[in-house]
Amino acid sequence: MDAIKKQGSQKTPTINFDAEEAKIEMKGRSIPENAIEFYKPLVAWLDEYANTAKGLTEANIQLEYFNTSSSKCILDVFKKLEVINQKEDSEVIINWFYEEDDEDMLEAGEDYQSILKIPFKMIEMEE
Amino acid sequence: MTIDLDSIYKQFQKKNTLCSYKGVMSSDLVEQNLNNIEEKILTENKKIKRKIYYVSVETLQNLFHHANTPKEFEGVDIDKRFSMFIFSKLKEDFFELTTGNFVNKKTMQFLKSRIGQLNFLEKGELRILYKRILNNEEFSKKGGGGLGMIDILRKTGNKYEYSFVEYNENFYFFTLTIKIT
Repeated sequence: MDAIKKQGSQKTPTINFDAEEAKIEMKGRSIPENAIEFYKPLVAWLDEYANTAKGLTEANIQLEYFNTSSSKCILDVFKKLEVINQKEDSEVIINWFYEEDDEDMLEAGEDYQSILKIPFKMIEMEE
Repeated sequence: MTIDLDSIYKQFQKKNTLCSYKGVMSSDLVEQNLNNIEEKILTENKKIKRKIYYVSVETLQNLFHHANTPKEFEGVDIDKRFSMFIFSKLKEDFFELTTGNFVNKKTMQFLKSRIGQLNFLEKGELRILYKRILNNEEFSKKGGGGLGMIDILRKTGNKYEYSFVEYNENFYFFTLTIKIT
């Protein structure tokens, strides 16, 4: 299946969803006014990916900011990953990157972790 | 009854107001204002910069969404999509951001009780509420289902100050002030 690669903008993150490499990457700012519109194709892609995913899929999430309208959409993305993780022949790990001393971003990752049944790795990035 | 929006706008202007705007908030203006704020806080410390940016995004986008919900204001004879935004530095590591917009009576009553409740919650309680809404409740198409108001309190740790100025028996001008420390 085709990968989704999107360059980041002032309001949207860089996206790299690649089935061949079993990699899901989101990096940058996610503050679009209409987050649902932005995330819809990503969630649809994951639906399809769930049918073919095998082995370990790595999700690298490195967000600088996200607005509350994105927060629900990010949860939707993670819920799709949760389904993939629950399949017998596939698993997912979410690497949640946050900047050194950005406690709010660490907490945001922990919030998702507590809602989902999926392994998270919190990774602090040094400046 | 007339409502003096200019004097409300002036009332929130401080000696060191870094950025302010009044009028209808468009998507472009959200971006412009955000860029403007970022420029003004370049030399501040990273921690407070993050908080300011986050609060600015949420509040400006809230004004934008509000300005694009004219249904609530059908048949009202003022430019009800009018909004205001004032961002000031009060002292070192202490900033204030005020927004203003019209709301109808129903929204006013809802906001009054909602903010009243939220202001009483501790950080841990806000976190539990945030997660519950994030995971369980339906979101509106435009907004975040009230998550923004909770998250701003979580991130700033300061209580909201607010007022409702009556325009007529059905409409009020709502101001919300957030202290960022």
